[in-house]
Amino acid sequence: MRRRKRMLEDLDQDIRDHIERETQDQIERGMSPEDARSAALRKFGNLTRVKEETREVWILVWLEQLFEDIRFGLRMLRKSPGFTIVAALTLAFGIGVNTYIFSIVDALLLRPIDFPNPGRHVALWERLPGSNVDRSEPTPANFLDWKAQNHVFDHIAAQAWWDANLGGVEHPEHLYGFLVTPGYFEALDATPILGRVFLPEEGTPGKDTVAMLSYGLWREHFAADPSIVGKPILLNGIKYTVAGVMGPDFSYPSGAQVWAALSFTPQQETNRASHYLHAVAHLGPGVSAQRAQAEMSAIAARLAQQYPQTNTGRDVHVMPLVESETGQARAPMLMLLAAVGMVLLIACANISNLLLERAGSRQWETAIRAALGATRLRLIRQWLVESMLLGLLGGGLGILVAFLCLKVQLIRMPPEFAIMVLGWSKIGINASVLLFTSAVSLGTALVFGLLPAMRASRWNVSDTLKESTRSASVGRRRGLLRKVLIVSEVALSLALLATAGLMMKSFVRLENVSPGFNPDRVLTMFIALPDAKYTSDERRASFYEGLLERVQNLPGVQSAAAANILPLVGANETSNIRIEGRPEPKPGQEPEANFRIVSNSYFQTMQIPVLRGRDFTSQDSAKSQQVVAINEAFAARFWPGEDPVGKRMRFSGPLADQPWRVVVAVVGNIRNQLDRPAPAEMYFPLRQQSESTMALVVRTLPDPRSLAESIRVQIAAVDRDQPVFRILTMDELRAVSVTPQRISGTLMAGFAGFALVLAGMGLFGVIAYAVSERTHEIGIRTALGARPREVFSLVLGEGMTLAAIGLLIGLPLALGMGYAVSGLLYGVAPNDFTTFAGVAAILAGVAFAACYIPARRAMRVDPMVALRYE
Amino acid sequence: MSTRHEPDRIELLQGTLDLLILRTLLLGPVHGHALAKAIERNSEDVLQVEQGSLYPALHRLIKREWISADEGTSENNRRAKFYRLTAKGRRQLAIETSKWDKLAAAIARILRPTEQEGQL
Repeated sequence: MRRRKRMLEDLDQDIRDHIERETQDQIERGMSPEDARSAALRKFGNLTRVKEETREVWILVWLEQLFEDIRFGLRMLRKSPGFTIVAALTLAFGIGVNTYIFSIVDALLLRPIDFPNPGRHVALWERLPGSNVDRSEPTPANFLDWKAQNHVFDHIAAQAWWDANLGGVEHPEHLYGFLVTPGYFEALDATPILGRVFLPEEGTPGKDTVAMLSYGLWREHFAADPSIVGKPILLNGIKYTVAGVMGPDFSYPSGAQVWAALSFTPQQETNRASHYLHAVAHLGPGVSAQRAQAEMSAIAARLAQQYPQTNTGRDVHVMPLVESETGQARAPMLMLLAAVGMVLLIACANISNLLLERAGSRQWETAIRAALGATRLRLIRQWLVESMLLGLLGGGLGILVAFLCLKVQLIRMPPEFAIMVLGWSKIGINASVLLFTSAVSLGTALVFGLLPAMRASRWNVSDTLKESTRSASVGRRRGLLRKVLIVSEVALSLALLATAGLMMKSFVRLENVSPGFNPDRVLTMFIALPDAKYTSDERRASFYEGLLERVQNLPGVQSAAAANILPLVGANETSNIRIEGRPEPKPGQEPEANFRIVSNSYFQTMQIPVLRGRDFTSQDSAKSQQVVAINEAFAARFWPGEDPVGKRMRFSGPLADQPWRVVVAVVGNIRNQLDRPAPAEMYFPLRQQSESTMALVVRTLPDPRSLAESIRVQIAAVDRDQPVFRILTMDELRAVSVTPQRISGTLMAGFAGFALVLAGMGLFGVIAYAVSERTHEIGIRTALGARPREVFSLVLGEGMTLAAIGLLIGLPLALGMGYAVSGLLYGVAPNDFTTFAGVAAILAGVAFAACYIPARRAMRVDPMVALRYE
Repeated sequence: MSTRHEPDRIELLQGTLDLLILRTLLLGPVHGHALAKAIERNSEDVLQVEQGSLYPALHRLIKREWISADEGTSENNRRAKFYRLTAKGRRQLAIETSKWDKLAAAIARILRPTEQEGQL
């Protein structure tokens, strides 16, 4: 490049000189100065064109040389297929796993929400700094106060879960719906493709029967009817007017099929105890998230003073919406991204080593090229072009690897849950993933190619040409570089293996946690009874009891029950309570406990032990004494050291008018989440407290899935308009509950295994090469009387020393990684000794195997052959 | 290349100029004007080289690393660029010359078949 600059800068001067000389020649031949000058100019030709052509030369030649380098590079790669295949496959896996993980990160973390200005949307949560609760759902009254008092949001809206049964169709279907206050779509910058958003007055009772259809629902159930707006549809037995249809890109909350207007009754408007809303808002123009947070905290402080009983200690948490949605996936995904990055680094080190070896065997060629006038830059470029070709080859194959990983669904989830993960459906190889892969491929090529290229271009020409064989001094320096590379590989591998080991151990621990009930052969499914049809507790209870009796009598059914909340999946419902005989709690210290509504047969079906007292019976009806069963955690928290049976408790807050309930049983703890101990829980019999959405829990004798259809038939027999949804076995629920741990554990194990293979290959390559370079030396040693055993331990010692240094350097790195992922671990310390010792032993074993073969070979070196060879 | 037509003068084939420059530089480094003169003189003024077309060719050869340019002083003590053949250029000249010989022989065989046979 410098040459070009100099040559072109001098061009004008060169041409001027040239013409002057020619003019001088002509004058000497007897022309007049003027004639001489014009003759010289004529002879020279078109000045401008000459200059242009000269400039073009540089561009063209540069391209020409690039093509030449590419052709040469391809020829060199073809000439050594062994090297090319090993390097390309190594890269294919290294780049492939990066592409794979990036495609997931891209969909789940980077662009889970396709809103035009993702930075302007926030989620609003209640926060209780005193009890370390970061995200608690707002109550209706608090939400309404936030809305009325803030000056920082353009739009603020609330959303609540909504089970919507679509009627008026051949097969009744449950829709995944949400009730949203007017302003919701505006807060999310979303506009319908047909119709309009909800009007402010539609947020009042009686006017709230308007629905927004999702694109999918509109296509599947309404044949994409362009005149659907204004028409009535039947949801939960009530006529709703279609207000509009959202576009295909809008799916928030993830998987939503239908939205309807949310209104608050006068009672709800003053409810500060029922936490069930989600709130979203759009920052006003020029308002920063910090300012919004400050104002909302001020509002929360005012509300706490105004309503100390319910609001003491409650702050507002203003969270970027994307963060609020991706919080849980972030840590494991970042860990996996870091892991694949390390895998790629290890792959790079391996290929660098191969290239260094290649540079050694090609130093004759390089020296000749240098002797023939190739500059150092040109030589580096030649090597880099070769590396880039390898990188592109690896990248191309890598996309294939990533595609296969996605195709075989290395990570999977039942569709019922996958649909609720924002961005899940968008995981795939798209343009941004391809861009990432191209950048990674070329970047990788630079990383693994630069060092060997610099090294290869530095051979001292005359030294190389003078000596007919390998130069020992050069070999030593190159050997050091290769050793540094292999030590880093071992260190990185140890860190990866240790992290994988911790994750796997944590996963196994979690898998072995007893959930407190027997999850084998249990089928679950949900039923959401419409309020319009099932108007009373009694009607709902009758439906479920009638249904359970029918299911109970099906062949293959051992026992059947119903419950409003299923364990393991982290769903929950809590309520504030009072214990009889205890003083009124201080503000902000309201005792609360999870509450569950179950049929009489629940404990027996789930095989939850009744530790004290009695099981629920059919005698526990709406007219009899109100009763409650509590779990051990509840007993320990509220009646430590006492027998709770016969004691009394009641609700506070909105259900405070209900009578006192007598504890009739203490049952075993069961886990809502496998990685957390059971909190205080209370159970109420279905007859005394009902809810419209309940889950059936059926323990079967054969495979539970095989009974799904016959149970469905029984439901249709009781109410033919009643759909069921989310049909899953308890095993599947259990698997879903440990999905993050399973995904991180298995993927980490896979990556670490791959790293281990690479490190083994790298070590083998380095030691084998060192042996072949030292054949002469070993020959002399043997000739001077060294025993084969000594040669063997010499070589083995060299390899194992490298491995040991790598392990030592890797240990702090591995510990760092362990602490970095400690938040993802269950029941395993981040510095778990057995894990670290185990993976170090595995790595040492692999290192031994990798050095063993070359050491054996060195042992058998025939001194005569070795010396003659030199 | 020139578009003027004068009797007895032959236009250069594409790429031939490169060969002529390499061949001329084999005799020693020279500056641009002297190179043009030398080519004219050695071809007994039969080959017509528009002097300007020398420069793109020189730059092309430099870029290919077949020749190099050094600062120097000419006969009348003026600063000038001297072009010199590199080792790579020397090798290239050998390749190009043998190519040229083959081409010339082939064309000659086609144009004068009998003479060639007689020589065999």
